[in-house]
Amino acid sequence: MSQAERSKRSVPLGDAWEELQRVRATIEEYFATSSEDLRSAATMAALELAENVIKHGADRGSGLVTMAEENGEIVISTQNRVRSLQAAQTVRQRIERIAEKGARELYVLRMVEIMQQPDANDSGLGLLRVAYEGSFQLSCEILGDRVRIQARRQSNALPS
Amino acid sequence: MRYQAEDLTIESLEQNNQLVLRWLGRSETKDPNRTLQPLMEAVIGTLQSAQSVEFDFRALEYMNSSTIRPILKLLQTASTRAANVHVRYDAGKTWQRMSFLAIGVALASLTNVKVSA
Repeated sequence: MSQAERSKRSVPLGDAWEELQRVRATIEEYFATSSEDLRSAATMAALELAENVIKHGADRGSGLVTMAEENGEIVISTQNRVRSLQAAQTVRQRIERIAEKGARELYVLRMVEIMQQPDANDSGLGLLRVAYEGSFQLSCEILGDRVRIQARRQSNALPS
Repeated sequence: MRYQAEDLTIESLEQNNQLVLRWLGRSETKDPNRTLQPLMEAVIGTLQSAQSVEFDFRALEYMNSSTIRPILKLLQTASTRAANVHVRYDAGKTWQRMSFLAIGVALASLTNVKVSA
């Protein structure tokens, strides 16, 4: 099977932080023959999205991380139950804002905010990092009580 | 001196009259603010007498986005204690180049901090 036709693979996600090691191992194996840059970007995207599922998802253990490569494009996605429709809508708004304003600008802006509020807890950088560092296009779908985040990029995309 | 927290190690050494802090391994805990706190305190302690300090991230294999907050905090603190702060990254690693270019822009107001490959 060629890389362009590689079939989808999914990793169920429980509530333990240690499960990220399984996500890492699966994605590194999936992209083992890809360039180091692509493997590294895909691993970062999968781990950042999976961290969000573990941190913010409801009904622990309902999460799923999926990776696929088809027609020169790679897609990393997560799906999980949400705590509330409002929480899902907030994520969708964040993703729409990234598309509208640009990931790099928002990434730097968020860092400056962090420096001004060093004792706040959440970094809020995960999605921005996936979009900026990984050059992924993000999208968000709300499916009833579940949310699906998709990160998509060309396999040969160069970081901006 | 070596400071260790889970998969992350920070080595501290004196080199050409400057303090060098080398970061090795991975930082991917759920709450690096908390996990890295003792490590950061130890590192800040070593900054007391340093005129010049270099944070060398080139051997860092991975960090999650939650690690960026304590790094920014550490660099801010270092800039108030040392005359010169140099942040070094590996431009050959795309994730480091992208991360540290952005960190460099965010730190631009700290005139004694230099971020370079």
